[in-house]
Amino acid sequence: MTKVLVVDDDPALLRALRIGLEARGFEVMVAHNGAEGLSRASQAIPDLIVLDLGLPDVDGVEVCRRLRQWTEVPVIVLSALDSEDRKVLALDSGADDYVTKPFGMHELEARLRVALRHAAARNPAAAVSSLTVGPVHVDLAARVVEVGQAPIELTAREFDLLAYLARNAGKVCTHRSILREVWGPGYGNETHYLRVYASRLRRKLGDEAGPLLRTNPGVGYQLVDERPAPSRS
Amino acid sequence: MLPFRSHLSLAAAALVFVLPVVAAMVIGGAWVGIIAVVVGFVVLDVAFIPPYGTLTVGSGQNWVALVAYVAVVLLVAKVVSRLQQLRADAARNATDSRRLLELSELLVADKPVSEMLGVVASSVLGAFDLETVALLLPSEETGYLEVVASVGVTLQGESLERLMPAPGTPASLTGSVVAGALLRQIPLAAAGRPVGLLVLRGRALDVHDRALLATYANHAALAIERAQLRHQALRADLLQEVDAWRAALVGTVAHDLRTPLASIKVAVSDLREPGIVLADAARRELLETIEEQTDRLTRLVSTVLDLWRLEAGARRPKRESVVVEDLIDEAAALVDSTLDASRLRKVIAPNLPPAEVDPTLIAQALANLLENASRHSPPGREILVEAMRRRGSPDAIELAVSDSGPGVPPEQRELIFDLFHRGAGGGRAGLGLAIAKAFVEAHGGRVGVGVSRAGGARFVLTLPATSGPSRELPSEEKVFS
Repeated sequence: MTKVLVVDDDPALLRALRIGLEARGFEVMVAHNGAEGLSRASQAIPDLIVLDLGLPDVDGVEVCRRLRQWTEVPVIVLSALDSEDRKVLALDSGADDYVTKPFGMHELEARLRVALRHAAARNPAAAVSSLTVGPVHVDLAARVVEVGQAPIELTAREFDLLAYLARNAGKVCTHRSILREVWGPGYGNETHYLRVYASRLRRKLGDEAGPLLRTNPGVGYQLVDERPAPSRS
Repeated sequence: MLPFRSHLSLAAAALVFVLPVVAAMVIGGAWVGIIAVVVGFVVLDVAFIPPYGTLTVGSGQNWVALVAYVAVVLLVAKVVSRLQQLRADAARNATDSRRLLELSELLVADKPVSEMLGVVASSVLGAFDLETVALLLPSEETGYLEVVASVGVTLQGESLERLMPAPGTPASLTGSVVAGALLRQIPLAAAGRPVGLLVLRGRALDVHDRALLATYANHAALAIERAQLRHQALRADLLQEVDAWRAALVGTVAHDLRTPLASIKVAVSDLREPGIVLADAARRELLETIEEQTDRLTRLVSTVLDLWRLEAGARRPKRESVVVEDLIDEAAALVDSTLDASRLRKVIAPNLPPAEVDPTLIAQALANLLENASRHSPPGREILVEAMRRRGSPDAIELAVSDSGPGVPPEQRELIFDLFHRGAGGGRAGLGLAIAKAFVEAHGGRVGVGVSRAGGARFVLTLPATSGPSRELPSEEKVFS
C-alpha cells in the first residue's frame, strides 16, 4: 500500500484528508507541524509527502530543503494565497508539485498519482540513455526526439530544454531552475526566453493546446503525459 | 542780562539767545524750536534793541544782528530736524525688525496650524495698531474662504458678507474688492499659489506700513503653506499606516477564512465522489467536519464584522453587568466544536463581582483565547480558566487561560497580539489574538501573556468589574440577553 505523510497544522483538514486518502487506498500518516513531519518522514519512510507551507514551527520551504538533503520522496506542497511567493521557493527547494487551497480530493489525488508514477520512473534516471513521456521519446545519447515514432528537428537549446523537462517529468520545474540548468549558472530571471522556447517546443511536438507541456503561470513548466484533473472550483 | 544791556553789544546778546533756542529745538523738536525762535526774536528786539519796550529795530547794525540770529537758528533747526527724522526712522526700523524677528521665531516654532495663524494675526494687529486682523483660508471641504483666526473686534455683518461670498459664488483670492473704506484685504501667496487672505480693519496705512505689511503677508503665506504641507505629510503617513493595517487585516482574514474552506471542500469532494466508498463512520466524520468548519466560518465572519464596526466607531461595547462564570460558559459554547468541554477546568474566586462588559464581545475574546489554548496544547490536556479580582484594584477582574503547550517566548509576548506578526514558521498567528486584544481594549481592559504553571502560555484579560449595589445581587436574579 502506498504510504502518504500529510503535514498540516489544521486538525480538521488533516482529518478530512486522512479519510479521503484512505478511501482511495492510501495508507495515511499525519503530522501537525514541521518538526513532527521531518521525524515521521525519517522513521516511516513514506512514498509521498503532502506538505502545508504555513506551518506553525518550521517554514514549509525549510522542511522541503531538509527533506531533500536525504530523500528523493515526491513532495506536493499545499499553498494558500498568502503563501504564493513561497510556493516557488518550495519548488526551487525540491518540491515536485503544488495544489492551491481550497482544493478538491479529485485534484489532489490526480497530482499524487502523477508524482508517484514519475518518481518511480525517475529512480534509475542516472543510468538511462532514453526517456519516454507520453508520445514523446527522447534519446539522450543520440540527441534524437521522436513524437509517435516520427523524428522531429530540434535546435540544441530546444533539445536541452526538452531533455531537462523529460528527466523531471511530472515535476513542476521553476523558471529559475530551468534557466540555470539549460542556459547556465548566470541565468535565472530571463523568463521571456522560456516563453519563446516553450511555444516553439509545443509547435514542434504538436502540442499547441498544451496537455503535454503545462505552463504554471508565474511558477514554471511541467512535462506531463496525462492531463491532471481540472480544478473543480 | 537786562542790567548789563547797556554794556552788551546786540551781536553778543543775539549769540547768547541762540543757545536756549537750539536747546529747545533739540529737546522739543521743530515746532517748539520755531516758537523759541519767534519768542527769542521778540525778546531780543523788545529788551535789547533801543528804544527798549518797542518792536522798533532802529539802526541798520541792529538789523544785521537780528537777521544773522534768525539765519543761524534756522540752519541749526534744519540740521536738528534732519537728525531727529533719522533717529525716528532708525527707531522705527529697529522696531519693525524686532517684530519681524519675533514673528519668524513664533512661526518656526512647532505649533498647531490654528495657533500659528493666531500668532500671525495678533502680531499684525500689534505692529500696525489696528482694530481687527483676520485670516481667511479656503476650507478643505467646500473650498470657500473661512475665518480661521481673528483678533481684535470681531468681523461681522456686512464686512463678513463681503469677504465670504454666499455658497454658490466661488471665492476669489486674487481680487481686492474692498468692502467699506476701512477694510483692507491682502492676498497671501506662496510659490505663486494663493493660500489665503489677510483682512485688516482700522487706521489708514502709509507707504512704510504697506511695505512692512507685505513682508508680514509673505511670512504668513509661507507659514500657512508650510503648515499645510506638514499636515498633508502627516496625513499621508497616517494613510499609509492605515493601508498597511488594512492589508494585514485582509491578508489574515483571507487566510483564516480559507482554512475552514479548505477542509469543507476536501470533505464535500469526498462525499460526492461517485467511485469512492466510505464507511458510515468516515461519512459521519466528514459531515461533522463540514458542520464544525461551517460554524467556525460563521463565527469568524461575525467576529470580523464586529471588529470592523468597532474600528470604524460604528459599534460601541454595550456594557452590562455579567456574571463571570456565564461569560466563561458562553465562550466555551462558542468553541465546543473544537474544544471538548471536559478538558476545561474553571476556577472562580468566591465573591467575585460581575463584570461590566459587552457579553458578546468579551465571550468572543475569551473564546479566541480558548481556541488558541486548545490549538497549542497536546491533545486531551487540561485547559485552566481562572477568574479572580485583580490584586490591588477591587474594580478590576482578571480572567486567565492557561495551557500546557510550548508557551510564548518572552520576546514574542507583545508581538503575538499584533496583526502584522508572523509566527516562527512564517504562518500568521491568526486573527484570534488580535481580535481578543481589540475587544478587551474597547472596554478599557488589557491583555497579556505569561507562563502557566504547566510551563505553557497563560493569557490574562483584565476587565472592569461592576461596582455599586448590583454586586450584592445573587447571580440567579440576573437577566442576560
